[in-house]
Amino acid sequence: MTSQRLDLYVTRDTWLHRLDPRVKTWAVLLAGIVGLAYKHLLVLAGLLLLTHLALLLARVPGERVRWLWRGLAPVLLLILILQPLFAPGPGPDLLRLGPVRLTQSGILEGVSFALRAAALAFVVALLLATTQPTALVQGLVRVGLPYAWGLTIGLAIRYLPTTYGLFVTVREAQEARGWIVSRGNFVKRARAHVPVLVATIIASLRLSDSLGLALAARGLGYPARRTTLHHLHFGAMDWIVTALVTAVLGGLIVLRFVMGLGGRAW
Amino acid sequence: MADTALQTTGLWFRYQEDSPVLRGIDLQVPRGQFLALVGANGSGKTTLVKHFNGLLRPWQGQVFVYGQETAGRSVGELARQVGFLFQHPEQQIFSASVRQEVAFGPHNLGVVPAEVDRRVEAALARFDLSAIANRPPAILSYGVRRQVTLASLAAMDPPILVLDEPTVGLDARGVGETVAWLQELHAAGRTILLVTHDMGLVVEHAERAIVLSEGGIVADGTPADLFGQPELLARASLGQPPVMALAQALSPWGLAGDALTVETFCRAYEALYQARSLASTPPPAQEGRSTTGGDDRASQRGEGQP
Amino acid sequence: MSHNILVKGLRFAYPPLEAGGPTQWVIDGLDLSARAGEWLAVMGASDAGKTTLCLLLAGLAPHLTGGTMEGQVVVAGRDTREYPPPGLAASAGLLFQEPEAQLFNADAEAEVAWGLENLGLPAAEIQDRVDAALAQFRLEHVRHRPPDQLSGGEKKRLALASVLAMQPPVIILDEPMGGLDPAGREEVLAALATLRRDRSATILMTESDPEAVSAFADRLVVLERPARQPVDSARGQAIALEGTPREVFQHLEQLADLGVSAPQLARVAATLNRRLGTQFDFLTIDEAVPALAVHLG
Repeated sequence: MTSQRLDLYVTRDTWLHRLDPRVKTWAVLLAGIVGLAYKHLLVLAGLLLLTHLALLLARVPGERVRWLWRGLAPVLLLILILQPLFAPGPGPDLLRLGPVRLTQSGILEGVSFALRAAALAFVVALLLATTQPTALVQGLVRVGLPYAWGLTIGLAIRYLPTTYGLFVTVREAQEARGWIVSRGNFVKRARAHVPVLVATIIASLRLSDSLGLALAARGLGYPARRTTLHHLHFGAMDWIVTALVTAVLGGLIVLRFVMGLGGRAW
Repeated sequence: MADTALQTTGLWFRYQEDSPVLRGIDLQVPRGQFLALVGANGSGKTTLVKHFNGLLRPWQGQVFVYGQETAGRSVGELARQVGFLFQHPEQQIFSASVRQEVAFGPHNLGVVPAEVDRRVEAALARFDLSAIANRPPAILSYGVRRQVTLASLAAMDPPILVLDEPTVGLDARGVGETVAWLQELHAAGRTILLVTHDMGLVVEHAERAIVLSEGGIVADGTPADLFGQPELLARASLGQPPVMALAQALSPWGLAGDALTVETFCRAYEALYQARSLASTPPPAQEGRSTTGGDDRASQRGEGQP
Repeated sequence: MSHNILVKGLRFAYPPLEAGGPTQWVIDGLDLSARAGEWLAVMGASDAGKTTLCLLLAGLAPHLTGGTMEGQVVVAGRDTREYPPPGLAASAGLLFQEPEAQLFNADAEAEVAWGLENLGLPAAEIQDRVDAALAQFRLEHVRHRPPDQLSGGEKKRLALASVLAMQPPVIILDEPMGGLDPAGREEVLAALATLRRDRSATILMTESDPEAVSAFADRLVVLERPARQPVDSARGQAIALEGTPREVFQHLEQLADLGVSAPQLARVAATLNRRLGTQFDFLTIDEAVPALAVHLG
């Protein structure tokens, strides 16, 4: 019973959860392009707002959203501070301290970058919160990824928390045998991690050995053409969302690249 | 207070935003007691015992070791008083050789090198590991790696030992060896807190047993008290050793229902059998008695067939 | 009478763990057979080679583990030396001791379906078999739950369902009771009971829990404490005791030497027989209560 949270998936049964993983992957792809292509504050803020609306509809608990914001906060703060200082951009100085200039356009650029980072993070978080990693992989296999690749990615995702839990327990075991973490300098502390890593790797190897046997025992590589139980099939909702997403986000992409809109923060 | 080895008062715990795993645990373990902690998976056993060496910290309430609160003391510090055995050998062996593994604990405790060596050699000998002291633990069998974890704990010689399922995956001999060691420690006055699913172990070795269910203590007493209550065991999803179920099934015949082990059951049964055959024998008729005995034999064989 | 499991003169040694290290037989001289529908239990000390035997029967050893094998293993008419493991998956199903490595899909339904998809069955049939397996092992309520959120008993049952849905004529169970809490134990006992009623497959089960062995096995084999002979030694004899559980569990002292525990009630019977001169041979509560009731009069 580990308390570690490495997956973002939130078990719920909303229409967003039920949506075909291919639709969601498509939407994330388009949203990603929009987020990267636009600098305009309104577009980026709109994207961020939209993802939060979707998180709400997916009944992702507020606690989880706040946890994400807390994790992002240092990065966003860094962007907000460093971007205007290092890339002040044109325009009149608001403040000048030696070589350091602060301009309005620089600040707006900083806000735009921070918004972009947050929007992109939440777009991905929305996908992971509403889609089982394996479903995601299944979707990718359906659009052409070889099954062996999909299986490998799926297994890596499946066993990531296990491996991390293993690492934590070995470290706990070390402490339980009298190792005082805060003792010693950095090198000494870092060195104490080496045996923990080695033990984790050995245990992981043991696990992957067993996993290899289990996969073979259940017929991976059986001389037959592999079938699938659930042919992911597009329902009405999937078509509607695909159409909507393609129209809106695709439209934005066209506006950006054909009409040249939204290339600046304001 | 100094006579209390472990204590919790109003202990609540939850993992992050989840619902509480421990719901107000008040527990006092006297120095030198052999206490068994039982309960279904998910009842909070491991969560509770991880508080005693600081691996987990109370959400509410307090934890004391020898009357001193654990708050503010690191796991490494608490390890001087509380030795902790984890469930799986994979998760607690991290050194390159068996000897280094066993020496890790006493070395951390600041024991002088000569004494570390003495303790390590003694622990290796005690668990029959001397011949393989220089081999990497990873290549040893599960049973032997279990022995390595016991030796590592023994070399630290802590006054309090918390053991989380130490007999899982061991064969009859391995279980016997582990139990013999715990008995030695108990005889030497160590405090032992044993988390286990093996009710036979509880019955035969623990002085006191605590049943945990859904994060609360639902029973606390001698093993005999506890196992005399089948409905309680069922409620806490605990099994009953077969001999106990048999004793209860025979209680209509007058068998004392608290027979917990093969030995106590057989003694109780013998006494009952003798009492009944004396009582049921009509004083003058000597023959009738032997005839009854003969009938019994015959019907036993009949009953014994599948 | 055809044998669904046939093992002849089997010896097996893993590759040495350290380069140039010694190789030793883990199984040394095993002859074993099981008929269709028979339930065979194998007991032995923890290093008696029980898990290795399971891997050999499923063809995983030596194909995937490496090592040296002598003798012959035939499962459902297929010699494992000639059929590599993926092809053997339809003939022999293996329940591993640890659920962690054998549950790797997104949810229970996908888990059961996975093996059937490998066999290339049509989707409709997969769906039927998945539904039946989930129903048989009372797992419908966790159909869409990820395996790591299941209890110990549910995990074991799901792993069992995943193996059985493939409908292999030979089923190998490695310590099905291992690592379970009492509630999980009851659940898995009930699951095995449905298997026992079925009687369609040949089952070989390694198990340390003598109560489970007495409840299900037609025949019990106890493996010798491993002698760990070097590979150039003469072939040994891997089986120490063999018979019905009732017969084998009479030999309490020998079992103790072999590192195997006997059912508590068998020990009760033996103690009473010694002290009261009775001839009890019960193993389970259902047998013991009437026998003792008659004895008490």
